[in-house]
Amino acid sequence: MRRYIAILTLAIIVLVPQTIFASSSPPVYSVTDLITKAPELDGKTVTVRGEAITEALERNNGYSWVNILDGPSAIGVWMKNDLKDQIKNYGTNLVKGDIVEITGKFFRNDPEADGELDLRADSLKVVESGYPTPEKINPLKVIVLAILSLVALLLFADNIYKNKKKTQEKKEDFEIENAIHEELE
Amino acid sequence: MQDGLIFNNNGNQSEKKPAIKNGVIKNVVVGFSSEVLFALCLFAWLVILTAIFFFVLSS
Amino acid sequence: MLRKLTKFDFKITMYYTGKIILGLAFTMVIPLIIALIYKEFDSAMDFIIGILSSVIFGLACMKFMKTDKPPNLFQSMIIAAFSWIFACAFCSIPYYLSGHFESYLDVYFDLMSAFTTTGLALIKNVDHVSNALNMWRHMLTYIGGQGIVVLALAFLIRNTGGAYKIMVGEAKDESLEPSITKTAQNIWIISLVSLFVGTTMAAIAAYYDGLSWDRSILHGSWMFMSAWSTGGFAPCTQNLSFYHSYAFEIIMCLYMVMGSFNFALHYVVWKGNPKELLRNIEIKTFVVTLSITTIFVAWGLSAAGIFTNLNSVLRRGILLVISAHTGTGQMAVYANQLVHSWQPLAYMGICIAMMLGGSAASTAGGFKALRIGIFFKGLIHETKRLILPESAVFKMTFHHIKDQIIESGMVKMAGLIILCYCFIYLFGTVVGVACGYPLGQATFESISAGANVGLTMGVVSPSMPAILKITYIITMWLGRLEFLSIFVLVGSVGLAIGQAFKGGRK
Repeated sequence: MRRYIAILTLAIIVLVPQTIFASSSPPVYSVTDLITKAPELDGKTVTVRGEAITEALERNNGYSWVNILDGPSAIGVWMKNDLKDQIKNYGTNLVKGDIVEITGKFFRNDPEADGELDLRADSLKVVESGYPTPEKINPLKVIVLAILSLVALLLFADNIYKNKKKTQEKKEDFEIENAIHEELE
Repeated sequence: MQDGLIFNNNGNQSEKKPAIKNGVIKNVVVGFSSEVLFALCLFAWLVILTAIFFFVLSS
Repeated sequence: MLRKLTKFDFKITMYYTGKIILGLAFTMVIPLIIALIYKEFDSAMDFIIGILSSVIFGLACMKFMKTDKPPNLFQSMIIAAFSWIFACAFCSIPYYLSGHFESYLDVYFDLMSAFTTTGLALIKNVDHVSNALNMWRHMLTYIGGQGIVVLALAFLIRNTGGAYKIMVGEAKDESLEPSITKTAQNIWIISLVSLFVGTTMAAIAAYYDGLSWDRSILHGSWMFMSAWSTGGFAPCTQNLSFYHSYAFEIIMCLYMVMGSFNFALHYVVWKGNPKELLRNIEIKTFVVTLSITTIFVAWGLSAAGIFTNLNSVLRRGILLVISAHTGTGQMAVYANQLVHSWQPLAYMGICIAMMLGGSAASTAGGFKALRIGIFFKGLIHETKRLILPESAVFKMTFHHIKDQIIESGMVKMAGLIILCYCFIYLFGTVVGVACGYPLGQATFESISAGANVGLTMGVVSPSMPAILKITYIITMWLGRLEFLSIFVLVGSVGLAIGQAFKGGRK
């Protein structure tokens, strides 16, 4: 079964881009496609769509690196700062990043970026705006937490009680010893 | 908790703690930087090796 | 060596395991603090639950299994193997609650990968993981690298009579100092000093290359921990190539190499004897094997003409060799790229580098340079013995901290362990192929797991078959603990079951 699915996906991966390729505007590829089909697509103009993640890495020469996540794969995109400035939200655990559509030249081993597989952007369009996704506390976790604290408290209480008892016993022993000493003297 | 397991041994540590000698810090600095230097020399050697193969084979 | 398992063995195992779990509970406080700083309240809950349950388990173990006796060698080996299983179980709680995994098996896989400093990951959507969980993932490789038991030694167990033996069980059998607590403390001092310096260096590089300051510190520390413990995790899908930074990559390479050094070597060098670096057999072996594998990769990549300038070969190829040879597994190329555009010779070079691994008594995996060195010297010795007349008596020595004479026992042990590694590489490959993966990828991934490297050609993903996940978990575990303590565990458990059956029949 798994094998058939694998073959089917492979067929889709191979066939779908070819059908799109026929149209005039630059074809849209998934990032995974770009990586797996890198030898054929090297140097071609392509379009990718994905979420801008973490942060843009701004370099001194007016350009920036923006990393774009698309499904399981991510790719670095080299772009001018004015393109980068269109992106307002970057994906982190607390933010859903802007979904951007980038058209640019794809390089399998970009000589200017020391052989990196990357995209040099010509144009950028924010397709979907990002939004904050603050963490909410799961009520189930609160319940589990309460039960655990209770158990821990019981364990601790027992220990503390025992410790107290011991020190008390020691104290009593000490007092008895003292008394004996005093009597002997 | 009785056998003093959680950070309870601080007491006897501080008793024995010797004054930090200057030699220790110097040794650590020398040791650390010599390791870094060694690794950098190793990288330089690898770069030379790679360069030889790269320029011979790709020309 | 095998003997009947007694109730006391069980008691003492649980007692020390409890202590170790209790120690781990305290380390969970750091990610908790990170969670609170970044207002990640849900993650904070995960960690509080994790802390509480480990404290409960630890306290319960210590209460009900209380014993004053130190463990003997047999028991400490069982403790070493056993505590890993439990440590994984408890550390997995924040992982599991985070919701970034498909199943508990995936969580356990990632945990084992972290503790064995492998670096293969099944975590989904890693770019949207909370800072707290990221901290925890990387801390685990760091702690796992220095050995959970070493941690316990340094801070928790006061009576260290048997503690050294636990460390032997964990394959860190170099005694740096006569006092065991001191040994553990030294390991931690070396690691912590490096953590401070390394994080600073990486953070500066990341900041210079465009990250904001707080993120550069976080990412710097995570990537440092990942490199130093030769783990290979990263907070981003793209691993090292996320940063697009030459300086950052060089710093990571530096710490990968330093992280793969023997702790005994670090200790001697840090005690004011840097010349040891040039004389040590492990370093010599490492330099030779690293040069050979570098030649393979440089040759392969250059001949294929994939890259057009030298820097490309260095950053894409040689970085990968260093990462593979030190058992780290950080990569600046994409997994699929390795499959689709790498030349066979280069691929083979990486495979060999992964197999060989770094130094003994370090966080690196694989055969280990010391064994390779001893094995080859032994080979030369035997050849000489056959050539020279029988009456000739000669000794062969090697230099590791001090000059030592090669004995046949050493060579035999080295050979046996190397054979064991070959066997697990083969085992993983067979299972991988049986699951329907191509031979090349299956071999690569199997070596990567067995040698605790963590490079991937794309086989390791949440969708891979469960049987393969379990296989990799076992090979990672075996490879890290270097077989013996696990054999002891399995053997004694088997014996105990056998005894129980015999008793039942009577």
